[in-house]
Amino acid sequence: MPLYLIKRMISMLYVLIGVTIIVFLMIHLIPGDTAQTLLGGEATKASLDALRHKMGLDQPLIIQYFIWIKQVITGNLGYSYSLHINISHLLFPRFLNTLVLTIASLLLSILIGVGLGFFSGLKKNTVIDKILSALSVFGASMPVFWIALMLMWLFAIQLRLLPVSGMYNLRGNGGFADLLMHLILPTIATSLVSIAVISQMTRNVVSDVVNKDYINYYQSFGLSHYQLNMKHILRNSLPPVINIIGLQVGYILGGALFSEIVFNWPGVGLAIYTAINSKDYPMIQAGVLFIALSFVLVNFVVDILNIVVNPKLRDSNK
Amino acid sequence: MRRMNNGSTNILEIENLTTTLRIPGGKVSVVEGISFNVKAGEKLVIVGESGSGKSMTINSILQMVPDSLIDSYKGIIKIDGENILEMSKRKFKDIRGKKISLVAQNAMTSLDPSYKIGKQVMEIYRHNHKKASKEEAKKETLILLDKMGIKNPEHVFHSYPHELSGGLRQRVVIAMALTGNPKLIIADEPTSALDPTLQLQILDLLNEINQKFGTSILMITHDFGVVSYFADRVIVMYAGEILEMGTVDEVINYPLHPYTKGLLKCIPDLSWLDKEDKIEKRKLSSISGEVPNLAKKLTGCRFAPRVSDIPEDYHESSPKMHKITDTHWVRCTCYQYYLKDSIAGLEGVK
Ligand SMILES: Nc1ncnc2c1ncn2[C@@H]1O[C@H](COP(=O)(O)OP(=O)(O)OP(=O)(O)O)[C@@H](O)[C@H]1O
Ligand code: SF4
Ligand SMILES: [Mg+2]
Repeated sequence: MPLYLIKRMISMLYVLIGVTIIVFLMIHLIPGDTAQTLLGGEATKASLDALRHKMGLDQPLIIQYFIWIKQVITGNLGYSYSLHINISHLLFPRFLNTLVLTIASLLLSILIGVGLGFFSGLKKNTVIDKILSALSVFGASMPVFWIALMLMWLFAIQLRLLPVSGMYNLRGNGGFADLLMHLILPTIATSLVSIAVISQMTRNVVSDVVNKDYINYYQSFGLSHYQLNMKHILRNSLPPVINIIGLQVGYILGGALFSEIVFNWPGVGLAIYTAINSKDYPMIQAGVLFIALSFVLVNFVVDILNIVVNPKLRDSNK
Repeated sequence: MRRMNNGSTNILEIENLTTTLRIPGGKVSVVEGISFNVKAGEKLVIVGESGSGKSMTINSILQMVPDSLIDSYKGIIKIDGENILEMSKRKFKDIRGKKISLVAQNAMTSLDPSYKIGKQVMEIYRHNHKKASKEEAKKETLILLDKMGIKNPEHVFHSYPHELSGGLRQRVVIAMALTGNPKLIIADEPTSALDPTLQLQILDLLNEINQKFGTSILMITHDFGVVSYFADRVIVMYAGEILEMGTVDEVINYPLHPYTKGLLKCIPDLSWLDKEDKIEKRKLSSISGEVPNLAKKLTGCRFAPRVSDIPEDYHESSPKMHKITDTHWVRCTCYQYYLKDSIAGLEGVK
């Protein structure tokens, strides 16, 4: 295994530990007594103590942290007091649903964002480039939940082309086509801003690379446009574009959480939203942990990809 | 088809080339009515101040002036007897790299940072030899790198550009230019980014290529040191025009145009050049007066204000090229005035 991979993994481990500490403290530093909240104002002292003991709340904070970490590592995320269910049983499938939406949105953003940006960058300052740039400024400035509501209103309610919400038609057979139909609107809502941002940044990167001496030099040998574009311009735009995409993954994941709420998509976002409404702290904690871990993992992958496509970085990381 | 000149074939013939750019608020001719030839096996150097149109001349020959800038090319540019200005784009693409190729100005930035050297040279090799297999291309690339005086071709083959020194990169760039066995290589200030010792090494390499393969070389420089060290013939350019043209001996030792004289008089500092001593060497920097703004069309000779020792009636309103010898041409009438003094010396030469 290359050394840089090991280095990045070690630094990721530190970040992971930091993230779990923050998520742990976030819940435990909320003012108010969890046991009291759960049992209500009329609970007896004995039943409160019993619950505190059962939840480990009578232990010092640091011990509680390690107990919690040990549970998390073994896949036990605790018990939901509002839904009366083992959280991991609920959250793992929910997390997969969030992944489906996030990955679909990411793919759409990359495909359209990089495609449009690459095209604009090659055609910098032409009419089509200016139109695309104006559109992307417009797109980048719209909030996700507003886009989501507008899409829902237009395509689901007015035109009745697509389902309003959910992941499967409850009366359908729940096939892949059904999933796709339900996926379209939340995916577009989630990715629109990122499409705009990615295309705008890709355009700038590409129009920069186009003016590099080596592109000019390769051109002097009479290479075809296709060869120049695909082999040299695209390749050299890749490192910064991957960086941009990496930053967008975070936004997309965040945006997906909003879309889930608007479109009633059964993912982690919707679970956290419901849990917040019912003050289900263990559930909130587990949901936030899932999202935070995803962020860390994504950043790790983007980092590694960046090093792989960038020879200079690879050397300085040897 | 091919015209003979002094008994040898012309690889490049330029007749009355005018290159016009579109600029905000109008058009400007950056190359104006220039004519010259490059003979087979010849080393021709174009010298001139910054902005005199040297790069634009080269970019015209390679049709590389950006589309957003070019208004028109007028005149004739014949490469190996064929006028490229009347040729389809497709056909011209075939000529690039094979009959004529470029040595990039700045080797530090002219290689693609994302690919290893071997891959890049092979790509151009296979572009020029469509039928070549990968193995063949690799073999030829290694041979070529070796011919470029690179000590460890295998190592360089597997290196990225950023892992190599400037001198090595310049050798790689020259190797790329040679992949198609061109008859003419064009080099725009190929050494200006290098330090003096490396400059000499690269000039020596180009010399060797010229001698071993008979490749003609058209080089651009603003350095009379390079001219005297390297050139067979010299062209002095100013504001898009050729002012003087001749063998290196004629131009350096018997300059006739007041501008050439000014250039040569300016900086006799050639400390970096200590190998050759046949010809007195001079380095060019700048002379008094500025390169005129081309957008403002001037009438009369641009140099009249600079020449104070000549009677008014010697000046032409729009100087033409005058032939002094078969090889020596000058865009000036005042040579007649100067010749009166030095006629004996000149005749000794010719
Ligand atoms: N992009 C451009 N837009 C407008 N004018 C240009 C452009 N590039 C060059 N020119 C003009 O063309 C003329 C010739 O420039 P050119 O680059 O050929 O000079 P040069 O002799 O190569 O100078 P240098 O030694 O600095 O490379 C200059 O007067 C310059 O103003
Ligand atoms: S016209 Fe006059 S100043 Fe101009 S080059 Fe000729 S003689 Fe010299
Ligand atoms: Mg130049």
